[in-house]
Amino acid sequence: MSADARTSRTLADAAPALDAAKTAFERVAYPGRVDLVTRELVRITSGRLSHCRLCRNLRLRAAIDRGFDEALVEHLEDGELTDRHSAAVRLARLVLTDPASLTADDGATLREHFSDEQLAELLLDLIRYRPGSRLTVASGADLATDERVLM
Amino acid sequence: MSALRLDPLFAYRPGYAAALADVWAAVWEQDVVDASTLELCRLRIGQLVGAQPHAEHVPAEVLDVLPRWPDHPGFTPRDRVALAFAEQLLFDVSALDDEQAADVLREYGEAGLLVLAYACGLFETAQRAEVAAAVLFG
Repeated sequence: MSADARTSRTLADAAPALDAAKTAFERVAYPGRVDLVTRELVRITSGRLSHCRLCRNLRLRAAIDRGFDEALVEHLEDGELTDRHSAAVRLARLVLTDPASLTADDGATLREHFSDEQLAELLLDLIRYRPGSRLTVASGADLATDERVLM
Repeated sequence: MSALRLDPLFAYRPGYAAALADVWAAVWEQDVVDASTLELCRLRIGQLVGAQPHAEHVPAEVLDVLPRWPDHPGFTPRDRVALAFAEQLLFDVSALDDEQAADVLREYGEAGLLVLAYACGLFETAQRAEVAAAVLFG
C-alpha cells in the first residue's frame, strides 16, 4: 500500500455509523440479479475511470470462479466483448463520464439484455463503487503501483 | 437530509436501494462535517454532472452563484476548501496534492477528510444515476 497516507484514521473510527451503513450496502449487493462476470466488468470499468489503482486492479475470486477471465479486461478496449457485456460496459462509461448523453436508443439496447430489475442493480453498483475509491485515493491509501489484488 | 431521487431503483431493487438510503442518511447524520458544507458539495457536484440539483440545506439563490465560488463573496474560506476538494475529486482524485489535502485537514480534520471524500463520491454517483435513471426508466 501507499507510504503516503494522509491520515492514520479510518472511516470506521471517524464516523462509525456511516462506515457500518457502507459495509451493509456492500454486503447486500451480492448475490444479485445480474451475473457476476458482467458485474465484474462493470466494476473494473468503474475502477479504470476512477483514477484509483486499487479499484482497477482488484479482482473478485467469486467472479473468476464464475468464468471471469483477464482476457475480458483486454476486450474492454478492443470491442470484442459479447453484445451483453458491451451494453453493460457502455452503460458504465456513459454514467461515469456523461450521463446526459445516455439516449433512448441506449436504453433500448440495454433492454435487449437486461430487465428493469437488472438495470436498477447495475446503477446501484455504479453508485456504490466510487465513494470507496474516492476515500482510498484521497486519504493516501491507494496502491503505490499497479498490482493485481484478489479478494 | 437532502432527498435521494432514485425511485425506480427502490421499485426494482428495494433491498439494495434501501441499503443505499441508509448510507445516504448516515452521510447527513454524522457529526464530523456540517450539513451546509455537504450541501454545497452536493449541489456543486450535481451542477458539474448535469443533474440539475435542488437546494435543500442552503438558500436556493446559492445555486446561481455556486459556479463562481472561488471569488464570490458569499462563500467563506472554509467553504472554498470543501468546494475545491469536491471539484478535485470529481475531476481527478489522483491529482489531489498534499497542499490541497493539508487545507482540508486544517479546516475539517482527518475525520472530515474521510467523510468528505466518501460523501463527495456518493453525491457524484447518486446524481449521475439520477440522470441515467430518468432516461432508462422515464
